[in-house]
Amino acid sequence: MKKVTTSPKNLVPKSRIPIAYLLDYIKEGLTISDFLASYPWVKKSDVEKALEEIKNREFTSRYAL
Amino acid sequence: MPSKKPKIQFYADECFPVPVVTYLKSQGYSIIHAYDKNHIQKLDNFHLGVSRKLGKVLITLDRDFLYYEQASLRGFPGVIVISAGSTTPPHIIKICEKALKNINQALIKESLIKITMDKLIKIKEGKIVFQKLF
Repeated sequence: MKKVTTSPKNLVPKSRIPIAYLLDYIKEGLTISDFLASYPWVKKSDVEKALEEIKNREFTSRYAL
Repeated sequence: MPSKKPKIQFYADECFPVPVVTYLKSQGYSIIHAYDKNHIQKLDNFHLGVSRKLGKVLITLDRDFLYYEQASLRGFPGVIVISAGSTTPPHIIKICEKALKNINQALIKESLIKITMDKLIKIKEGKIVFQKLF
């Protein structure tokens, strides 16, 4: 099989979950707890860091991907 | 009369929300999550290899897998990429309810199926070979 390369993306720290996913939860009124229930190995402190990252940048969903 | 069709077995990678796996199990689907196997922080290729080894169809939200539409998946059980807007469990459950009943083993084998809001698209070695609205 051909080797497939992908573009870099912004991830929740110490995970392979895109920050864009976290944005979906926020946009739909879900909570950090809901996000953590979906990805139980992710630490709350890392989700909080990701939220800080969102606040600190001019963040578009395209950028997040 | 019970169906004699072979049941598709799924392997959800780490991008797939755990509550959706729990829901699908409750609906009778055979599905395991990467987390059940402690396959966390792994590359896409790793998850693809696990799905092959286990003989289970890889199901993911990770759009990076769409790059595999150009590759041959010969020898692989198949890959399903849900690319339908939001990644939250309520939304993904709705999409799964509509889409998965349209997929059988013959359709998915050695192929990539992209699921959008209203249709599934089967892609084999870079070519769209089947589309169905649901």
